[in-house]
Amino acid sequence: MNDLQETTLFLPENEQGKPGKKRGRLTGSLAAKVTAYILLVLMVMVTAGGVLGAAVIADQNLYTISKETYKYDQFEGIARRDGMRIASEVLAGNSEGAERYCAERNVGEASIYKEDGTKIWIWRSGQAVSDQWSFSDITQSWNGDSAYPKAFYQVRVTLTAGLPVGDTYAMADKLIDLAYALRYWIYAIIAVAAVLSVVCFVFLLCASGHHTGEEGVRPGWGTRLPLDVLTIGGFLGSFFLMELVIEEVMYQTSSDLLTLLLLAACGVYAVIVFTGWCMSLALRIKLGSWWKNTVVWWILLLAVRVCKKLRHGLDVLGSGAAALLRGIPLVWKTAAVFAGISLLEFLLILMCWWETDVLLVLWLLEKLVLFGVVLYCALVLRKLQKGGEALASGDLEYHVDTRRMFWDFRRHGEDLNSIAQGMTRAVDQRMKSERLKTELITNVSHDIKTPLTSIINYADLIGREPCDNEKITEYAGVLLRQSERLKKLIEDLVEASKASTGNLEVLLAPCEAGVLLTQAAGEYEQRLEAANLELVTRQPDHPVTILADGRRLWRVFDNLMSNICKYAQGGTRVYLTLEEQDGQAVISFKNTSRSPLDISADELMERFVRGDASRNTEGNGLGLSIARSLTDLQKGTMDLTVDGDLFKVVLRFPLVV
Amino acid sequence: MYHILICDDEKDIVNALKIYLANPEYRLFEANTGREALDIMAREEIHLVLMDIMMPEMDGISAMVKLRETSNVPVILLTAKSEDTDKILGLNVGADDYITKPFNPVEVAARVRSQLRRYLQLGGGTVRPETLRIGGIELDDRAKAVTLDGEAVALTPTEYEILKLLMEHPGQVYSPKEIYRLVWKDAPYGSENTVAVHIRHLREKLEIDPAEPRYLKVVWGQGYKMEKGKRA
Repeated sequence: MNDLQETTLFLPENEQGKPGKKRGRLTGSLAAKVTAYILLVLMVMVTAGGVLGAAVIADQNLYTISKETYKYDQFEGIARRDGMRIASEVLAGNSEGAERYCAERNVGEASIYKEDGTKIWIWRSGQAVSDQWSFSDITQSWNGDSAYPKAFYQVRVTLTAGLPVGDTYAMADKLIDLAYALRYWIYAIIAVAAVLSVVCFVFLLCASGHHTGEEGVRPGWGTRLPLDVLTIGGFLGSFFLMELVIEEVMYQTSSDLLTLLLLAACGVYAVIVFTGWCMSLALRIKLGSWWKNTVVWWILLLAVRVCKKLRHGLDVLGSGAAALLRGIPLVWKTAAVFAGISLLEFLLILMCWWETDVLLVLWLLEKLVLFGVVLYCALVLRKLQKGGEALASGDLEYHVDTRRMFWDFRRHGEDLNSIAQGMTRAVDQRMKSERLKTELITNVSHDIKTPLTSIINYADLIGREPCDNEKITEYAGVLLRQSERLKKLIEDLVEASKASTGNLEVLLAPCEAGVLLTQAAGEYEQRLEAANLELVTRQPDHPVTILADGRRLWRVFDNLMSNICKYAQGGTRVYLTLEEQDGQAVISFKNTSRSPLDISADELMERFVRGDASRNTEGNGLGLSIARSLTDLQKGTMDLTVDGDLFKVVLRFPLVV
Repeated sequence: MYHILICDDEKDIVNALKIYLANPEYRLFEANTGREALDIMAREEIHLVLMDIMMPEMDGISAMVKLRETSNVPVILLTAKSEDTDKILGLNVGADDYITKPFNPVEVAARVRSQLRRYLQLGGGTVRPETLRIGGIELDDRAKAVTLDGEAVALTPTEYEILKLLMEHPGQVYSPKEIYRLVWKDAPYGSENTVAVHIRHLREKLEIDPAEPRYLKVVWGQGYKMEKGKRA
């Protein structure tokens, strides 16, 4: 329990500071880096040596041959060479030389016999001889001396027990012992050394650029060198150095040991240089944008800059020329181009007037090119024309594609586009302000309606109060009537505002104009009768279907019929007719005005304009305006004609086929 | 005794409504905000609510939504908001009727009466054969009699026939020509106008506001139809 608590207590601290700090210290420390560097070199050497040794061990079959046998074989080889040497010395008559040689080596006893077995020379070191390592060989005398005629001799060499002298025997003995001792362990050693090398290598990569007491990495002296220079310099330099060493030293010495040492030195050098290069690269990557500090990058950058400068220069040159050409008026330009072409043609004809076939080919070619140019001009002009037409017909969304146009064409196209943009902006602004106006009117109407409700109700209540004074009742009636008018005016105002700004939902559906006519007649029968008017309706026998919003269209009929009831001369006829004309349904309302109409038809349709200047009668002058806006919203047209006292309204809607 | 709750932030309007609805059969309650209305609803047994929309504290729509969680008492919205969208919203979230300001006091009284009858008297509704009923309209074909919210309505024979035709097929639109052919049993050579006149008379007799009929609807440019009754 205690342990657990401690662990949990320690854990956060551990997590927070320790590893980071430790890592910072270790990677920053120069000593650690140097140690790691040396360790790395050592371990790489050990690994290389181990691999080499393992290869030799495997090659010599040390796993199958017993140590004694192998040693015997090796000693026998050396002893044979020794025997030859001794025999040649002795047989040449130089017994002292042979004895000196024997004394320098681990030879305990050496003897030479004739073929018949008679001993001719023997040497004893006086030390104990080995009973195991005794080798004999046959050799030949070459010089045919009198003392030792040309014949075969037997040489016997017996080694000293324990091999006390440090000669080739002792070395071979030690090496073989070592090889047998390590023949299984060597793989473990290779593995450990390899792992350690990798660890040291990774540590060095991590540590590169870190310094004690500093946060983050900082470029060292090596990083200033461009990467590619460092790479090529490092590798090429190393290569030449090694080449030199091998040339100069290796071919001049025959010593195996020296060669081996030289090779090892080269290996160490290679490891040091390669690791250093890797560390530098790691530091560059850590610092970011490692590719920027390379000669290749600089050259690329320079090339890009030069290209840009060049292009800029060309642009300036081109735009200057273009501006110069633009300055010339279009007519002059055209004339100049035409004159130039004509002159060219003339010169060509002058030059080769006798070669008609060449002239013909050239003429054809010229016409082909000119045809292309003229066709292009025509196409562009057509495009511009289309844009102009679209603009004229009110399509402000139209955009002239100026991407493939040049010179004056392009300017013209852009001008057209900016006209469209300006107009669109203006229209948008107007729509927005109209919408705001509608919103304002709607909100104000809500606010007016509440007090108006009280006025109407209390006026009504006053009228209902039992009262002796008749005037009070009469006045209350006026109040009531006028406030009702106000109510109607407010409603119409909202509707007129909405209808004129299109802020009204219109659901167009097939609708029978004849039925609507009938319904209107039915609805207004009583009011027409009250106004002493006779209604005459005419419509075709077959149904006439138009596309309209029934409710909105009824509002149009309602306004027009109510106008008729208000303003028509009593005792006259009112005509309500439906006809088909040129694919349109034509509905006309005709009546005779009671008072003379000295206002134009257009003015009558404006808001708040009424036929009678005195403004005595009921109505507020919004009816016709609303009717027209609603008709427009339903994609119909409304025309108004005033001919003397004849007042005529004509509605036109497209027929549904 | 019917308990009616009047809810409006404008005192004058509440007082005027109180005068118009002064009736020994009615007991009137008054609230000035949506919250007050809900408090009174929790305390008293209310049979009908007249509610304004734009009020401080809690507006009429929110109050009605809250009220609908527990009660199905008739609610008539009485408001200055006269846009179609406002009406549709109000009726969709639970109002039974919608009257716009400035209102006709007689119309308000009539609508209150109609809603109360529908809610309290005609609630269950026993459907006898040969009796057609749509909303508050009942047509007894044996007696050839029509009643509206329980009150007899005097119709001419032609009006009765037209009403019967439309009530037999609620929701179906009949053009004036069809009605003429089916009721007069004759070819309508230009006499459809008569049908329209009869329909207008019928609306005046059956509807509280003939310009905005509840039952006998005018489909402009197509014909006439009987609304499919909600509780028929």
